[in-house]
Amino acid sequence: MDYNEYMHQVVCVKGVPASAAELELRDDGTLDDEWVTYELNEWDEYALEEAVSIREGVGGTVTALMVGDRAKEDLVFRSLAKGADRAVRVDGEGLDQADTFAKARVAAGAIDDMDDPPILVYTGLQAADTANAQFGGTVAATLDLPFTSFIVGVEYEDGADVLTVRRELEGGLEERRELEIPAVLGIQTGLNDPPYASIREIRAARDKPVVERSLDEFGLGPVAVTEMAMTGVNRYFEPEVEDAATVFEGDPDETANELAETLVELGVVR
Amino acid sequence: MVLVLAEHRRGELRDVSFELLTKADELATASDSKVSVVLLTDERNGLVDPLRPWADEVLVAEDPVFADLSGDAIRQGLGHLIESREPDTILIGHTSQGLEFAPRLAAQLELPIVTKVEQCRRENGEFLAERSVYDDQFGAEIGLRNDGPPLVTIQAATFPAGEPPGRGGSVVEVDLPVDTAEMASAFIEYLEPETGTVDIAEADVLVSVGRGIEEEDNLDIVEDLAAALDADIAGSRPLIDNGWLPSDRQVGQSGKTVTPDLYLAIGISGASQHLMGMKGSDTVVAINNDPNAPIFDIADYGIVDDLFDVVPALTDRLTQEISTQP
Repeated sequence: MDYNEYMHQVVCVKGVPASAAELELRDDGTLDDEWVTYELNEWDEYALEEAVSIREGVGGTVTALMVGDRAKEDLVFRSLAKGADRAVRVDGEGLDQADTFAKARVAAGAIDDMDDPPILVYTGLQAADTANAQFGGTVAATLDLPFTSFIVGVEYEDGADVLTVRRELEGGLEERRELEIPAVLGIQTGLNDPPYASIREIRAARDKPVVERSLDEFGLGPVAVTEMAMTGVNRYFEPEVEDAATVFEGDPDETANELAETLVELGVVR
Repeated sequence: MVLVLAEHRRGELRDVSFELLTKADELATASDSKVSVVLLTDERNGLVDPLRPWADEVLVAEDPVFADLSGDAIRQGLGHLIESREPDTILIGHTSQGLEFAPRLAAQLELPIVTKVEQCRRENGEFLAERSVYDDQFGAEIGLRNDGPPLVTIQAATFPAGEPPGRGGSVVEVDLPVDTAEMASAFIEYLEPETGTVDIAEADVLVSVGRGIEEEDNLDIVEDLAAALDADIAGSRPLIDNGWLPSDRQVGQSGKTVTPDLYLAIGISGASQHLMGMKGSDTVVAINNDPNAPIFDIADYGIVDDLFDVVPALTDRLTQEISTQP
């Protein structure tokens, strides 16, 4: 990929169920998502805000890229309301059921096909629903771009050919690394303060450009997407509970009272 | 052969390495196979011997290129090894190190990858993994749709390491060429964790607060409860992300592992990344208005109600209990 003089940043965003409680497990081990409402994946919101804040510093364009997520169209406008300049949505049969690997390949295809190749491609470290944490690395592999993840800080100087990132390791330890760009980034939560988008802002965002692409344009149909899959969910199940908690019943005074007495009996209150 | 990547940092093997080896031993025993562990390092001192009882062979690639543990170097080194040794399963930590390179390596080698694995086995030769999804409200059984050995990243603290199986591994030097032109990042420095006045890892009683607290100002009721219990305050990731608690108060994968006598979780749903940091607590109490919150699966006692009603009532009651005790 060549990269242009102006700063184009792409942020991959995904819709996830606002509450897992709305999902129902069917007898055959599949999930019924008929009643689910979707929100932007939290990690992607941080990624989007990071791209927007860098654009505020050095200019350029931020594109929100959504793969599949047909039913979640308003999330495109939500991304635009939160500061993206334009959106690209890739849709096609079979995409919603595709595995992370296949979706990442499609996203990489859409990025590679952009007239203005991005300097930074952002992905959330993981999505709240599947928690796979595979998407960014797979996009990077497909585009053959540098990649790192667990990013909790980004330092970018206008015109530089490297980026300094702060990565979260375990147990509170972090590291700083220099990364060649263009690059793909896996963003961890907490590195900025994503804004709330009001209904008015989401409505106003409908005036921003949204480019619709279909799988066919990349020569990928439903069969190709299915064949790309490396793994699949055989079944979903209710997690096993070893020892259910003793749940105190009653109004707050009664339950608080029982809990307090239990803590005293256990000897943890001294 | 089950291949394990030994994870280490700053001259020490990380616990997750032995957890991976614990699982590898089980998988290899079940399929009458062997365990190989690979150590990619610039300095092997002290790292090789602890691995030997856990594996049939310890493959050591000692090369300055592995000095800063860059994902690009590990990816290339492990990639060569997978292609030359043809393991049937590759176990990697579901960690900042593992996730930096593993998905990319899988894509490059066109091998299947299953991440955040909490259980896995082979059934008639078929690899099956289990992992929790959707905020840990459901489990998912994952199968492979592609031939080839799976890369499996294992959630830390899932397979506690006991005594080593005594495989008495031989040490084998391996040469894993790494193309430095393919290394796109360079290590600058470590940033040490903030150290406050309280070390929650040492606390006997912890009042731990999560997203359910809604607003920073609402922390008052938690502070009152902590005072009544003579407890320290900890929190889950969203509290730290919001800057409402200092980062050294975080419990979980990216924070600290705590083992208090009492862990009182307030408004914490209990995602697995959080649970792994506190499941060693003696007694766990959860207060949450969502009866399906996974925290209740690990709690000993629970109250399903509005924390803004229960917590002040509990503080009052405890204050009375304590003042009336002989």
